[in-house]
Amino acid sequence: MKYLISLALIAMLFVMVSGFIGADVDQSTSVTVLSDLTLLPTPNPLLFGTLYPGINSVQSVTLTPGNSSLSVSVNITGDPLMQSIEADFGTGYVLYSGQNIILMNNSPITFNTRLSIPSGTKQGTYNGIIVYYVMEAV
Amino acid sequence: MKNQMKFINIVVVLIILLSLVGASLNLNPTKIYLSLNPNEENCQKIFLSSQNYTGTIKVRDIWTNNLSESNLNKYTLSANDLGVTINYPKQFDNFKDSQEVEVCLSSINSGNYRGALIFTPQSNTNVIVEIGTWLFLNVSGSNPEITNTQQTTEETQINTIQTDKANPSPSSITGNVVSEGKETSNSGRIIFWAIVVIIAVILLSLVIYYIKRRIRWQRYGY
Repeated sequence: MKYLISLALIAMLFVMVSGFIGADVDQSTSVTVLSDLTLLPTPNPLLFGTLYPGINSVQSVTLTPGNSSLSVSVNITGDPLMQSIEADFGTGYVLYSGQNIILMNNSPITFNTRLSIPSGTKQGTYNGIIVYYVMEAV
Repeated sequence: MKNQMKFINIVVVLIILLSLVGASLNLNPTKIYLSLNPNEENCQKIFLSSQNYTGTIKVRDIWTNNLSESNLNKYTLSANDLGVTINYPKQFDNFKDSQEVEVCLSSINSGNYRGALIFTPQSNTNVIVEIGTWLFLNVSGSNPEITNTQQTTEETQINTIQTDKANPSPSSITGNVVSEGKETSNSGRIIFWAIVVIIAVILLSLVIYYIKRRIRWQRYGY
């Protein structure tokens, strides 16, 4: 009998102590982090100025991403002359339109763009639009 | 050359899109993974927000055969070309502050598909913003209409993508944090209730012992 009572008391004491020491306190935690699709191309607008046929103009462009890495696809629309703009990412000039650039977060890149005016180009104003499709880099 | 000698005034003006608006438009999520059975439809919501843009936003989807392709200039297919059905609002006329966009996808064919949902705001100044959400669609299950000959290659590629999904980028750390806490909590509860049951058994034994002893005392006096 005494043995049973002692056992019960010990067990109750254990439960009480474990209630303070071993009990789990649930504290859920969560965070939702949004991707930052910010892209800042400079200069804006990109002006090549007044040129003569047979001459080319080089302009430096900087693409500055925000806090997320980005996949940036470039598409140039407008006059065919403007669609011929080239860019040099360190391996020589390539057609800028159609390029896909991966930008690491907070890491701007600067490169040269070049517009060559073919001989025989008629006088006038040529306009183009550079479209940057900005997606999260995956 | 005469042409070179001839003075030609060429004013070249390029307007770089997105630079100003890119800072103001944002999306959540920026990529959607969907696993479906053939002919099963699933919908996801995209939250589009802006701090300073008001006006019309047009929405369109573009697709590719190449699951590893990230250059949107090469997304030349339509959903219809792949047997994918996608439904979403094609235009928001009076966007302001934020907008929830529901995208519903289904496919009659098994396979893995990659697309993008592009959001284009209106611009009166020839400045256009184009940002988007990736769409990764995995359609599995038997279907007699399966005709996708690139399935094997695409499955290999989608597995790589699924691996990324299993190890999500910092944009989703919710799952691990919460689940770890719950595992600890469950084991603690099991121990607690086990001890409670043991005590209950002991106390019940004591009660039965006292009852028997009382009966015996009443009957026999000892």
